[in-house]
Amino acid sequence: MMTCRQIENELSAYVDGELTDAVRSEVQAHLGACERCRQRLAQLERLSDGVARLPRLEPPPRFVPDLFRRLRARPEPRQSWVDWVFRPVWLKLPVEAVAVLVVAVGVMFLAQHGQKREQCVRCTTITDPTAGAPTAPAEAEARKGEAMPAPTAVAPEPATVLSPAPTKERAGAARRLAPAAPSGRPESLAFKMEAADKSRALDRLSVVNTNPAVAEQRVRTLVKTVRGSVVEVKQDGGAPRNMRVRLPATEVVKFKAQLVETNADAGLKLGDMMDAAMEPAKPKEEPMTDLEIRIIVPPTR
Amino acid sequence: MESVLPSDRELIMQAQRGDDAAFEELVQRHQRRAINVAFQLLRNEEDAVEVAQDAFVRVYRSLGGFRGECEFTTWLHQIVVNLARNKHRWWWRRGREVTMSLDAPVEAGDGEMSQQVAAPTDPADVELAKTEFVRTLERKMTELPRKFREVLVLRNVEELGYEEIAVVLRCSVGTVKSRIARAREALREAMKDELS
Repeated sequence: MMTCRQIENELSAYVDGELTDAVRSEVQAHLGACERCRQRLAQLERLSDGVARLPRLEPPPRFVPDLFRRLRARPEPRQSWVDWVFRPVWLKLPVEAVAVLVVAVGVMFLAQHGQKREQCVRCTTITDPTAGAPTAPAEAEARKGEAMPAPTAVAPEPATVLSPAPTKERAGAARRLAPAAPSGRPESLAFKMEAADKSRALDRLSVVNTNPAVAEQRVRTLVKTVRGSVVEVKQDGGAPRNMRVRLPATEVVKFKAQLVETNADAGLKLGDMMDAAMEPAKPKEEPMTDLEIRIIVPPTR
Repeated sequence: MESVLPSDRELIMQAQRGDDAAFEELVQRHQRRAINVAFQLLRNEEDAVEVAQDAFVRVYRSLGGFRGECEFTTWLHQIVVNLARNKHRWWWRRGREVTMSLDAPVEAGDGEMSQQVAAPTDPADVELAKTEFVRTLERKMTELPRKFREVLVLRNVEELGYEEIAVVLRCSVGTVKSRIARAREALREAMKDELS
């Protein structure tokens, strides 16, 4: 049997018809015997009736037209960055995961590629201040290349960078411009003289060209003109990479100058690259000297 | 031959396929309900109409996500109650007096807001609605906590069952039952002079 207090708690639901049959029967039985609870029930019913009769608001006549005007004029609701980035999750999350992966791979690729590119940049920055005024527009380009070495963008043929005959002055210049190696010698990433080469006083040139075949052909032609010979061509995947040529020692300077001229005529970029330790081949008994020409394919962007 | 009106569900499906006429029919059908719930909760005509419009805009934008797991009216009530709560918070942040008086003059604006409080059609009800009791009740309602006002409006004005109210307010039926009981008790206490 429910007490008055328990019945009071149920009266509100009783007014709303939300009691189970059993509880409702018990409440009804209690109300038949309890005047106080009947009064309370009457008050609750009056309050409920009063709330139901509260003044209401009629829709304004232009409610629907105004609404449709808003719907047509209003842009999409502004999304939070979370909505923008992640929703719908089933679509955006996989796409974003793939995109992140692609970017990561791209960054790694560029980082590796950038190192090769840096080699070329450093090649072109070690220029010879004693070389005088640029002999060709290409040389000016080479100097510009210090800031933005993009040799393949404009030239009809790929750029070629080579080192002129090394001299003590140039070695000094290179020493000033290049970071010092532990041994105190300026270090070019691209052009390090091997110990064996040093002992043979091997002079080394580098030719930067996007078309190694063209570079090779140019070198071959010039070698013939100075009565030299191509001793060896090392190839990498079918493209020439390193060439060793043998020239009369007296023709080395001329050979280099001609190679510079040839490239200058072609409007190609030129730059000086040299190992500061390189000394010109000094003919002793044999008036011939070897030159190693390294053909470098510049990184493309 | 008698024409059968499409159900809310049918109208929603048509609207989901891009039929604006079906959506307009939905709005026509439920605009009074949306405006009134907002008005009972906010007691401000302009804000009530704005909230109702916002609610239909939200419905329109979210039509694609409506799966019919509940009645359209339940969904609409949910949205209106939430937007009214937001409006309340907006008032509160700006220190606006929330309590509104029925005696306050109506701001007509450009004339579109000139709607009047609807008068019950029954002459007897008209008399009753005009009594001081209802006026006092209305004022006391505005002084109740928002949660109490919500359940009383949904129950006595919208005549929703406890289960539907529970869905609208996202709480249990037991919570609805006890909250309505406490709300009425609070109102009874506030109106004890008028009830005696």
